[in-house]
Amino acid sequence: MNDILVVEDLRVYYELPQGVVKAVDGVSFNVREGEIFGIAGESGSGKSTLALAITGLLRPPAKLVSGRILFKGVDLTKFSEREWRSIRGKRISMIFQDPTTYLNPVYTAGFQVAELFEAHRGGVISSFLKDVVEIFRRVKIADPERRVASYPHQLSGGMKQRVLISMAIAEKPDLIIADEPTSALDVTIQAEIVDLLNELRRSLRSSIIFITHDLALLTEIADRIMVMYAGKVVEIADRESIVSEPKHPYTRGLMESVKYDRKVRLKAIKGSIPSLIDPPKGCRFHPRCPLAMDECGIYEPKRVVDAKGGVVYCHLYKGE
Amino acid sequence: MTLLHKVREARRRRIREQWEVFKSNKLAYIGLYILVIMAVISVIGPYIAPRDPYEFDLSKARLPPSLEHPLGADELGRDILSRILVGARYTFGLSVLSVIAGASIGTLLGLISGYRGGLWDTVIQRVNDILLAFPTILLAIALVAFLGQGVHSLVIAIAVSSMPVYVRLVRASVLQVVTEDYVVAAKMLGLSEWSIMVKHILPNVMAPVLVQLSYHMGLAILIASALGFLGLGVPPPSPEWGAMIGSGRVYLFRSPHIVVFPGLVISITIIAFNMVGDGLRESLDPKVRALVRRL
Repeated sequence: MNDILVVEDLRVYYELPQGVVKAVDGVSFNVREGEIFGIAGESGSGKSTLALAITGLLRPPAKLVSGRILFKGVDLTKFSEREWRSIRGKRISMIFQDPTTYLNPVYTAGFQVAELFEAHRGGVISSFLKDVVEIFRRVKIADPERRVASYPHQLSGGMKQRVLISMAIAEKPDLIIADEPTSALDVTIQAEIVDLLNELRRSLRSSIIFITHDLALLTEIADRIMVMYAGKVVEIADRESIVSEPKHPYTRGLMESVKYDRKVRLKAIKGSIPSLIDPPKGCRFHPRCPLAMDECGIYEPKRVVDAKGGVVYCHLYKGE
Repeated sequence: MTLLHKVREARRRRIREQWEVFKSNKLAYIGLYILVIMAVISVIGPYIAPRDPYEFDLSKARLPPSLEHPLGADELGRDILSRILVGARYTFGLSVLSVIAGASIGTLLGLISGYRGGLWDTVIQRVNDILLAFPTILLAIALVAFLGQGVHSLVIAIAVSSMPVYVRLVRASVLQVVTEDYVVAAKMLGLSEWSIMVKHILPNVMAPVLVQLSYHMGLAILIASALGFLGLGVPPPSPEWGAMIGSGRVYLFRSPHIVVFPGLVISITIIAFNMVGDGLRESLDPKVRALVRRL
């Protein structure tokens, strides 16, 4: 399978008066065509900043310091605002966390989706309403003809998320970035939205980057999973490997804290995420790591690739 | 019903809802009536005036109200009622239009300043600061002094002196709206800067502008009459309300009607504007609307 997106040594820093926050610090990964690539991490691990960087929506004080983002072989970091406009919403799209705030309260849902068609295809907004109904049907909005004329406040949370998803898939993009798309929703609706994304992935053949703090959720839908910790990649592996043999102690900790077993008490990872202004030396996880060795506090762990193509950054593993 | 109709219908329903809330505020409703009447008089004033507002007859000077002159005659024997009716277009019409002009320019500048930021913001805000540093009336007087007396300089004076408030107001609202997620979402859809600014930001900053506008129109009438009172407004013998008070003030104690009636009209108009402003503030506030919807 070909890579649709390759991120190489990406660094995004926030320059604040208190110091430089290294939100994304040397992250490399690749997303293959048609896969669901999951990114998991605690809040503050840099996963949302990563999403903004890939869509070119970083705003000061965030600054892309170095690295390359290759989308179909083209480096997005060199894009002008005009070039960005031509691919945003069309080739790369995004689904946001809180559907209630991402719709403009003064326009009807149908209008806002039609606006996307207008921006990329040209023509009058009113002529696209039929297409909007079609796309609403596709994301399983009940009674789409009526919903086209509904204002955001007249829609439920799940419905609004469906509207946002319809915007994201309207132009059949190659890559959809879903940033915590289910976190603001009820559990039952979460399941529906996840099913919908899964189904759309198959019918559209788009790749999806699914960002969430919920590793358990990712082990159900993602093909491959990347775990982030304090702005760095900790482990990248396919779903089976993460579930059956997580390599990095942090991934193990996360899995143990979500695995459900009546007999065993859930284990929590001790401590909390470190300050990104002054992160721990060496491996950033070492102050909380149960298996920490002396070298962990001195050297940064190197990238180790295993036979299956999984990547882990940990001193426990030495490259062959 | 076609889809387009449905979307239009939804929009109409929303406006109807705002109108219902506005109407439920009786004072605002009365205020609106007064303003509509004023607006009509501004247009047709000269045709309904019972007498020629310019024709003077010294034998009738300072006649108190009578059947012949319902509001009396002024110091030159001109019919005060006719002068008020014809003067509406100078005081009311002129101020309203000038404020709308000033507010439009101010809104546009505020929009650019808030959305673009950087050098645009710095330049617009510093110039605006200078304008704001002068008291409104002083700025207006200075502008009239600089441009010379006349209708056009009155318009420019009111427009320019009312503009800075809107630049500030809109900029502040824009800074708030820009961080809203739906603006990020609009960017993510690949919309152009211009359409984000006009379609997504402008409608969401209009509510405070409209409210400010209605209060401000009252204020502008005060400025226009103050300039008229000082002899800097529309040149005589035009029957501008403030000028009527200005020329009649000498006779305030002997013939109060010359001053009282135009003064009353000015006050009523300004109060009407304020009442409408209150009503607008309520009806444009989605929280109040939601409350009314539930009742």
